[in-house]
Amino acid sequence: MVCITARTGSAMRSNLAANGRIAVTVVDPVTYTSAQVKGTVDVVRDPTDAEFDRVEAHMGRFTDAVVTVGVVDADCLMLGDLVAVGFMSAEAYDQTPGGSAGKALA
Amino acid sequence: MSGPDVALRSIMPAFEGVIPSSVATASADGTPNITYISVARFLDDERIAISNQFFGKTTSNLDVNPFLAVRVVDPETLLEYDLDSTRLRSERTGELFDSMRVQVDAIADQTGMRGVFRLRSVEVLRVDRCRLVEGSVGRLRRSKSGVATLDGLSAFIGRLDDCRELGELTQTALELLDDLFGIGSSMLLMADHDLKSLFVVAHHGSAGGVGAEIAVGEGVIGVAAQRRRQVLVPHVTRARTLYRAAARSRTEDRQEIPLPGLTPGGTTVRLQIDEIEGSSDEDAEDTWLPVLTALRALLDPAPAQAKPATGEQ
Repeated sequence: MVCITARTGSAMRSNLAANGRIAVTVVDPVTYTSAQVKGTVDVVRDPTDAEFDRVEAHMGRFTDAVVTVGVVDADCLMLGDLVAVGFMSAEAYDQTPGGSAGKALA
Repeated sequence: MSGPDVALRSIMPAFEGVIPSSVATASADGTPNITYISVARFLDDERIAISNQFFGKTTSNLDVNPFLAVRVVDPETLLEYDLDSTRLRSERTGELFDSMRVQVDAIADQTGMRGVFRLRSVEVLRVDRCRLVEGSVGRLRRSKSGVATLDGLSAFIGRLDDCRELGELTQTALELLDDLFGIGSSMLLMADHDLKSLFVVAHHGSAGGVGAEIAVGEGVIGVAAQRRRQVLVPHVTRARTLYRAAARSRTEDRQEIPLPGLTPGGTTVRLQIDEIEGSSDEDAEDTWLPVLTALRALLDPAPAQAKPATGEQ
């Protein structure tokens, strides 16, 4: 389950509804360690209170982290209508820049 | 739906590479793929170019489906834009490829990743639509930026006219870059006669130190001098982080060449002067023409085209 900003009627929502396929890339903004997970969407719904709390905590950690690489006010990059997306992971890849980029993760 | 169309030219800061841009493609069966890219460069009102360094899946997707979405972020406003695009062609030679390659090579050399972090190709894209991402609110306060005005340029030239010797001229110029344009750190380098080394002859702020020597072909400055091209490292910390991530998969020893006086998080524009032929008042204008040319490039919102010529910026 991931929470993303995707307003009702947005292109993101349309894409989620189009064929059910999803790719999620996650990046540590300080080390650039990255991975991509692909799968099929199970559910798209409003986040629960507990999920909102986790998102808020994540935003705080992210905003603090990117200050160390020179980006301030990054919290505004994560504002917007949140939607919770559940999906079954079918593939995962290392996406860290370098020779291992694109290799499948176990 | 996203907002109305936005002119590419109006979001030039988004192409400076301060905040990574992402690229989304889809395979023939509609499976999406997302990756971050090092360089997204504005070409004209309808086209951009993106760097391809490690695009395995992106390239194979584009071969069967040329449509892609590029998301860029304006680092000043933190507004996000989606660029619905179509790949026009892939370039592996030519002026555009060379100018983007030197930027990639320079940073790679700086981090000991020469030959590993290399530009494979440049993908030239037609932007079919550029839209503000709905819900993108940006930051409320604007970041500080330099005061780039024609009045400033006029004052710059006028103050240089008052200088009577080379040392005064060089130091004044660098101080004026700070006072008039907000470029707080700068240094001026000259090449030795056999063009093997560069020496710092003037510096201002936290950059460099007079007499510091940089070998031609090493590091960002040395590579830029060797190729005789302008190199912009939009965000020093990000560039180092990116390349160090790649370095972690390497086993051989690497030697990092220090980048003199660069501030983490800062932006570096290297201004190269190949040769100073005289120091008299009469020669001052000719001597500083490259600097003025570089300043004009900074003042011009359109990107300067790198030209391999003596005295380029």
